[in-house]
Amino acid sequence: MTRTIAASDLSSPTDGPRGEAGWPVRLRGVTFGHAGHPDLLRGIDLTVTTGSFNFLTGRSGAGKSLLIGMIAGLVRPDAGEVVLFGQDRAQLRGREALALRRRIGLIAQEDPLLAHLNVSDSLAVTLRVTGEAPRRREADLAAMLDFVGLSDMAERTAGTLSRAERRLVALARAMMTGPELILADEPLAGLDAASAKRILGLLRTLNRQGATVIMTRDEGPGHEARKGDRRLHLEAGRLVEPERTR
Amino acid sequence: MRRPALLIGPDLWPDGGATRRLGLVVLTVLSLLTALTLLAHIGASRAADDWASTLSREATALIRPRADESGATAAARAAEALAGVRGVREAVALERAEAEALLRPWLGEADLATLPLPQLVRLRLDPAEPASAVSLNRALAEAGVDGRVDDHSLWREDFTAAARGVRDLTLLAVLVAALLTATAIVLSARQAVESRATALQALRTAGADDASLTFLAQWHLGQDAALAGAVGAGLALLTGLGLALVPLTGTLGRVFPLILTDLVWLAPLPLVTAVVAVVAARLSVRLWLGRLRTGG
Repeated sequence: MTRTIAASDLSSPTDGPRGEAGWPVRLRGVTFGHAGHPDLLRGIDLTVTTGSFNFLTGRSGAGKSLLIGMIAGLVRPDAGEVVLFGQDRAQLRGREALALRRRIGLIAQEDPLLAHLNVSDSLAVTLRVTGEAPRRREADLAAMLDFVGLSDMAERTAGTLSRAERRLVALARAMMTGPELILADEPLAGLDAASAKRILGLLRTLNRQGATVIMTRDEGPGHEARKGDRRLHLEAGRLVEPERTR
Repeated sequence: MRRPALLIGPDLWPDGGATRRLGLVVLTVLSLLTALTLLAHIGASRAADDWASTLSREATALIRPRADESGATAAARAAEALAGVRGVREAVALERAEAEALLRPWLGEADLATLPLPQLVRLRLDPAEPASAVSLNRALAEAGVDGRVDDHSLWREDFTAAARGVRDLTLLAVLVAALLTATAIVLSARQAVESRATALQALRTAGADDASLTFLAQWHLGQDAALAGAVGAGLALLTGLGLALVPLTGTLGRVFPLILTDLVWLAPLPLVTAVVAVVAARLSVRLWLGRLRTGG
């Protein structure tokens, strides 16, 4: 059984004391298309609660990566609002936009890394592009490498890593600013079962520590889902929500 | 630390390797070409002005002596008569040796001493208000001198038009070279951005906003273009120095009479190439970002 997430969900009385800041992600009427695909996203309404673990599913090309990119601020919707942590994404510029971006950790599909940088420097890139000098965070860099189990690979260049290792670097890089919202686009794609389990375990750990997670999957979450996880499904440009995992 | 300072390290903009070096060579050669055509235009403009000005300031009187006087006497009488005409600054009867020197370029190594050379009077005219050929011929007639004044008016027009043509052609060459250089910079910027798509994606994923990516591309591509422009201008400067310091030797020195201050015009070239590259980098990044939006 599924239900469409309606705009009425966004401002229900049950919002209560959490208010705007209690919802890390709120989309209202988000629409996007271009000449080849005019209806990629059609009036998407979505509210994601703090600390939730969300699976965003849909067939290939359904617009999952697009929606993730839109929440991350990489793509602007043709219409509708993207509100993150109570702030309208479209209204933010300069320092405010950067401060918001630091609250988001993005793990993109295909793990784009600067192939000539070593693992340690790859993690520092996140700090540099968001305006923080890496030398002030050397201890955090080491701790993050330890967290993902790459301490002994700190000096290896990204171009020499296996897919699973690259994924771990991408995850660690996304975590460097201590984000409250983690957007993971197909983080388990192309990995063997053990590596997928490891990545998912790390995402679960971060979720337990308070981060809100939205991760995409081509297929349904299957055995990866746990009680309380939320599944969001994109179909024909609309978002539907099957029953929550029990 | 300010964010731009954190971005500009070379590690965030992967080196383009051989492609980048080849691009730098091409831009340097085109910058040199632009700088040389610019110098040629400056020199040609000065030469055209000088030639036109010299022609309008000079005239020559050809004197035929009467049967009862020597050539030198007739020339001296003519010079005296012409010197009194309004618009003449100086009238000098040429010695035979001077006349031979004037004719030598046309007659070569012929034995000029055996030839019956005409008596010549060289006139220097007031550049502001030069005397006309009519008034000069009238003065000769009134003085009873058989002669004719050539004020170059017959061929001065054609000569000036030809000089203007050379100047316009060199200007066209400057424009074509500049256009080629700008085109090469734009294409090079596009190639540089496209070939670094993965790196730019990585930075975007890590949190770099569009302005940061644009800044990064502008910083590196602007520097490359400035370097190519500086080397091109430097090589042209050396060429220009040669022409300016040895102006009267060789055909080039006569056709393009450069002076040292002309070389100042080369100074903005690195800045101009850098500005073009900065604009091209901005457009290239925008184009790339636009294609990401439509999945292209």
